[in-house]
Amino acid sequence: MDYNVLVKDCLKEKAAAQRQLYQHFAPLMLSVCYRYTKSMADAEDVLQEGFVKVFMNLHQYKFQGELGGWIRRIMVTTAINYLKRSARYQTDLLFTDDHLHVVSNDHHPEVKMEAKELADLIRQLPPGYQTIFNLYAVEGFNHVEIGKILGIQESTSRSQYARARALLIQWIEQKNDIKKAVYAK
Amino acid sequence: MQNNFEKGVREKMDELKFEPSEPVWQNIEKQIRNKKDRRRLIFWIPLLILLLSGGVWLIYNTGNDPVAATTKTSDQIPKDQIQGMPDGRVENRTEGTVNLPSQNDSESQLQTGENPPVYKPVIKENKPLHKKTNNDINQVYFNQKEMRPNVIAHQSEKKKVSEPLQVKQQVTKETIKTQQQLNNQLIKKDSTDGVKDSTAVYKVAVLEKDSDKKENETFANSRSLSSRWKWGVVAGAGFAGIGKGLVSFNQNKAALDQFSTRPSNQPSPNSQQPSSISKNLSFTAGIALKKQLNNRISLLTGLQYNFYSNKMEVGQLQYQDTLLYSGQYINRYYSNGGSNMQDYTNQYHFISLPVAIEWRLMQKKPVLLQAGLSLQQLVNTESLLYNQRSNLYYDNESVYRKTQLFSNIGLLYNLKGKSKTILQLGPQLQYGITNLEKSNTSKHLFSAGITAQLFFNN
Repeated sequence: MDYNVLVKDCLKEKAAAQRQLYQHFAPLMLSVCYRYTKSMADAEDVLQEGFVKVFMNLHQYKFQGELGGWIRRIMVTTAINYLKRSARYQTDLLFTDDHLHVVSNDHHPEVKMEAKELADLIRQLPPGYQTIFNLYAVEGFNHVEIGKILGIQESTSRSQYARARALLIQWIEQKNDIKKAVYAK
Repeated sequence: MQNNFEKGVREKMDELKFEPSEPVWQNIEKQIRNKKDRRRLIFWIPLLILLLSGGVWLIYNTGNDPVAATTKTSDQIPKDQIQGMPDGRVENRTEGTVNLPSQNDSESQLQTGENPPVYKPVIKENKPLHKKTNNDINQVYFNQKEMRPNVIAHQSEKKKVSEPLQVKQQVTKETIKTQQQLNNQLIKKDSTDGVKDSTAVYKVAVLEKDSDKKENETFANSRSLSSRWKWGVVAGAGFAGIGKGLVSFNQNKAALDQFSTRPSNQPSPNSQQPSSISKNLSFTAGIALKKQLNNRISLLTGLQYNFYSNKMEVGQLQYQDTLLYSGQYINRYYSNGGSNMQDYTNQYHFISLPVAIEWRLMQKKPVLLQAGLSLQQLVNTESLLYNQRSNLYYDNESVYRKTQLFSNIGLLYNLKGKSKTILQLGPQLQYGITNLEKSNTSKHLFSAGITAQLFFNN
């Protein structure tokens, strides 16, 4: 698929091109939104808001770099803004010193589970941890960048990530133990 | 430092894909169309204000057309009229008639049309999302607040958070039963989600009351305080006049003495009174920059063009050398009085540099008070001064202060507070702190009207 032609057609407000762009990227982008939210309905809300932004700002796309990466960044930003303003996520998004409880966990299990199963585990993390884990482990931002995005200290991001990671590893191990027990029977 | 764990997670997450439901695309399509229509509409608002202002100004400005006044005088000025000037102080140095400039010349001298700047804003908008169908379910959850598991207290009770798979064990049997009903509801509603019971239980924990939504939104707004400068366009229209001082803006006949440039030590030769001055059109257009200092206060500046005008009645336009007072001659003036009176619009064109503070008066209502100062440079004027001795009006730009300080105050309402473009609309008042003229006369320009400010978020 020639993305440049597709984008140019979208800029000409061709409905068919807009729909094609959406259909091509929506499944992957919905999974991004899914990881940041707690329900599929919220994920679809973010997806909808994100794609409206994509189409309204498509003229800013410079035809450099991956179109998918550009759309993905918009989705991540939209998801974070959604969490910040959504009443349901507000209190849990507060990054207070109460969260600063660094857990050292150098070991980690092998991630053998299905992608959705792992995504659901990430979504069980408290929203603050969930957001930082997604930004660092999946999107690849560093803690300085995360601090700027979320308006928190770099050290807060670092310690919260460590705790989120430890929690996730603990849960993965529990899942693995359960699976082993089932197979043993 | 990221290691294999993060790499493994990322690879797994890249495999994950979901098919969104059909209404998502329908809503996106609908919103794109609506926003583009609204974008076009907002684009035209400042332009419409400018065009309207320009149109009104042109209508008023045609009153200054000297053609009517010069029709009579374009051939010859009768000698008796020249001699009829007060006290013989008008000197006719060309014996009886005066060679007048052509009609085109006189028109070109008086034409003042300046094209106001036109700005084409690029508007981005952000409409709130539609409500999702799971709100009903959420409401049920809110009513079951007492049944929320302790997971919500994860901030203080870390142990409970660390064991999400055991959460259900901590809930009573009755709670579990009710909870399972709720979870079933959620799972039915969200068929693609497929989240297991434990996840659904956690969902209950993270939900908050809708009644807190407004407060939280306010809080969210304050958290997203932008430290960047926002730019925008400003346009406004209203009326302007000349005030005698801070107390009264009304200009009456007595106040017109201020227009006289007669030296104070010379007695008035006659008792003729100048025309009264009435208010007339004013408008402003330009660019503005805004920086938010804190939740309620912003700093504004920019560059603007300001036009002020007022109107009075003058007699015929005359072209002949005339002595104003010792050593000062003019060769073009309007008489005061006579049968052929016409409207004349005094016009003042300024380029201004405003600096103002914007204060949000109420936390929950988007009402803003703007107050500040503006340094204005007079770039051109088409205005008349009254000479009491000769009972005539003439123009002399050098009389005016070129640089003037204005105070301004306005009450604005945010029409689009939550979108990417912010449109502010409301009444605004400007008052010239410095005297309009270099002399000690107390004449101050003022204007009042409606202003519209359109700001774009970065």
